[in-house]
Amino acid sequence: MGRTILKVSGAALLAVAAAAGAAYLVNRPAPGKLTLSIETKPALMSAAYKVYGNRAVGSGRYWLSKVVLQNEGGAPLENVTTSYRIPGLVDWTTPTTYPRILPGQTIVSLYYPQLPDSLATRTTTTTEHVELRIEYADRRGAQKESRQMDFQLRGRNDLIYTTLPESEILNVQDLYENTDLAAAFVTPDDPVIKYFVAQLESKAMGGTLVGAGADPREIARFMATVYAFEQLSGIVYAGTEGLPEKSGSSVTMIQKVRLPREVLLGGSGLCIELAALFASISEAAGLDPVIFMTTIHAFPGLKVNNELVGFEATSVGIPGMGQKRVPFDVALKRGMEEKDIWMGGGNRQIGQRIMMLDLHYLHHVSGIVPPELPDDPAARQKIDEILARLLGEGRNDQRAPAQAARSASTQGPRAARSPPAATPAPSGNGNGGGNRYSDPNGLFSVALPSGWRVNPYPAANFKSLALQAFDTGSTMGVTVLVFPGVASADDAVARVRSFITAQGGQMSSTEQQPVTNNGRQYRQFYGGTRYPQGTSIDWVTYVRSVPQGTVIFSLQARQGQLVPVLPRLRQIFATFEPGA
Amino acid sequence: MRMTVVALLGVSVLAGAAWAQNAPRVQQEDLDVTIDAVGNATFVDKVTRSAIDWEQYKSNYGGNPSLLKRDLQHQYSSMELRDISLTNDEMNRVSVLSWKAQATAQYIGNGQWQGTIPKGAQATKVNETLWEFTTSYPDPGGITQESFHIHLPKGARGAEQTQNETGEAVLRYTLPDPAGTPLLLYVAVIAAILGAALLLAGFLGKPAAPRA
Repeated sequence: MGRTILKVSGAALLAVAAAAGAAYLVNRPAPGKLTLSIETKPALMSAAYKVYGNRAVGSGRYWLSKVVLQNEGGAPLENVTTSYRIPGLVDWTTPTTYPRILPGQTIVSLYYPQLPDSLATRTTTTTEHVELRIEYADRRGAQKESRQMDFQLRGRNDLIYTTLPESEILNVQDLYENTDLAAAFVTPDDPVIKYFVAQLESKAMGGTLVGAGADPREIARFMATVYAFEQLSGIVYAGTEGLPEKSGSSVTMIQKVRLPREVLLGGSGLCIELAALFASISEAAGLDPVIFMTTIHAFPGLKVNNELVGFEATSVGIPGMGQKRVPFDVALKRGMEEKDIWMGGGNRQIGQRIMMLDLHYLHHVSGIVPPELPDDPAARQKIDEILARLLGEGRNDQRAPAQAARSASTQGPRAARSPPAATPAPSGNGNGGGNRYSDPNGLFSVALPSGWRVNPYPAANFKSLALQAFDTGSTMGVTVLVFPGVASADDAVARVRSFITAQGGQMSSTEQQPVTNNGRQYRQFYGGTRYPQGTSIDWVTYVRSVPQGTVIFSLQARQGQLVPVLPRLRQIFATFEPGA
Repeated sequence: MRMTVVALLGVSVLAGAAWAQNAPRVQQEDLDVTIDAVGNATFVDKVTRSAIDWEQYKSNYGGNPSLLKRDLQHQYSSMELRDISLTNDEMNRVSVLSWKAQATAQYIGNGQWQGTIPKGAQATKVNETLWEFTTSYPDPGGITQESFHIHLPKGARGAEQTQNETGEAVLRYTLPDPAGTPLLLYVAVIAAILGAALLLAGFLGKPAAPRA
């Protein structure tokens, strides 16, 4: 009887098992089903390669690929992993694991590639591809998926303003939606820029260090010195040829922008390039630079005592315009006017306001950092050469830095709204002179600023010294020497050297490229003169010889003070007319 | 047991005025987030503005909702946004932006989910499925106060504010597994084992000894 009960109970339970199993099979959920939605940026900027590797920048907006994984099935997907690589650039990433994707659940996988520093030197555009590998387990067992997506890797000089398709662009915010990445083109940590700033501060500014909280007059002097260096080293504004251009459907607006080190040593720059150079130098010096961006223009500025100072960096010079360069204080005044226009939204002249790049914030808070640039000994050497030329180095006067530091401009910006003129601007005819001086012997004429002291033929024992004129408010001045009948420039220079030596002084000089002034060619010398009592003069001298004689026109200032005032002195030289 | 953590938001898009106003003011923003059982959420962001702020808002986003959409997508990069909708009540200067965000909450294994909440936020538990917190931040015209209301899925429990492995603030909660357990399969297996055992015992068991 007992065995029968066991048999019947067992059979009944097996029947229940069969029924339950059948019900399970009939009603069991569908297997998990993974669907993918993949979005890849059409192009990356090499200059901003560090930004793309940082998921914290811009709330994570600078991903390369965004993969949306969704389980559209009825059963979970287990142990889902995603991994990426860019062949030739980035190896497979450590897989990111998602333990389970439930039915209806979505996972978003973002790829922030850790691109190599070598991109900082990449100048060409290539098509790369990012590979995606997905592994997971479902009812059928282990599964694998892979995908490949193409993107453009632009050269380091490409600034992409927007990657929106043209159909999505309505206004300037759309057209320049990527513009904050322009901060990657401001490179204060570039070893070349840092070296330049250190040399400028120690040699041209007498060891003075500017920086946040510095006296505005010192900041003004620094700005003026940088500006003067740019002018003297031949950097000019390259015009509007580099305006952003449409570039196909994947990258709608793009502009070639050279890095500041390239502009510093390269001779010319677009407005954005000159602005980035100025901002890089300023930030490297510890200042707080900004760049005002409009639809057609970019100009730099500084935050000084919680106020914005605008500066028109393109005033540095225009190719083909000869010596007609804009003095620093005029460039500053223009910048201030443009800044006010920009604050009001812009106008037709400077374009419609887009944004202000607050470089310190973008670099140190937002994480939009510039590329890691290698040091360049050749660039350092070139900087040394230019500074030596400009400042008459080669002399051993160790007092020069201290002198320059003591001679900080007394007319700097008391507030940001006051143009920080380092010295009074020449006035009068608008061409650099206020009163035209004519040599009593009819040998030359030149327009001199109002208020300058003029000493015709001051040395009875050296009649060739025809004129000394100088600004009573500073140490700058000009000297004219005339050597009738001396047809050789070298002979004339030798006579000057002899005279200086007879006075106990020493003169050093190096010849530079000749220049043309008012259609006449002059040999050009940079140098300095030292006297035993401590007076030291830096000068730039122009020498012109014709069969009838030689004329020398010299721009000069106390050692360490010449660079900031050279543009003004060159304006005076532009008015110089030697006699026949 | 399955544990869930909610990943929540950053700073609101609607409150961002681009340029300075004339006088400091406080702008109020209410953000309601309702999360479902698989980590997706519905966001409703309601902002009431002063007259000046309203004009500013319209000049920024009013004429270009695509810009607002794009900014929103940038701000919530780690989510997939759908059904973005904006309504402006001109008379009351109230804007309501709503959207659905997939992957708001992330399942992190062992029944746990997690997600971030704004830095510095101190969440308060109202009840088992409702958490609230307030943040404020300066904007060019004054201060924006944001009130967050987070509705956890039905059945959520054990919610707490904690930190994830990278130090970000997260809100974490537990939730029964929505996939459920295969009860019928378990019944079938257990019944089959027991049935087989009983049958085996019935066939192989010793017959009872006859009484003397």
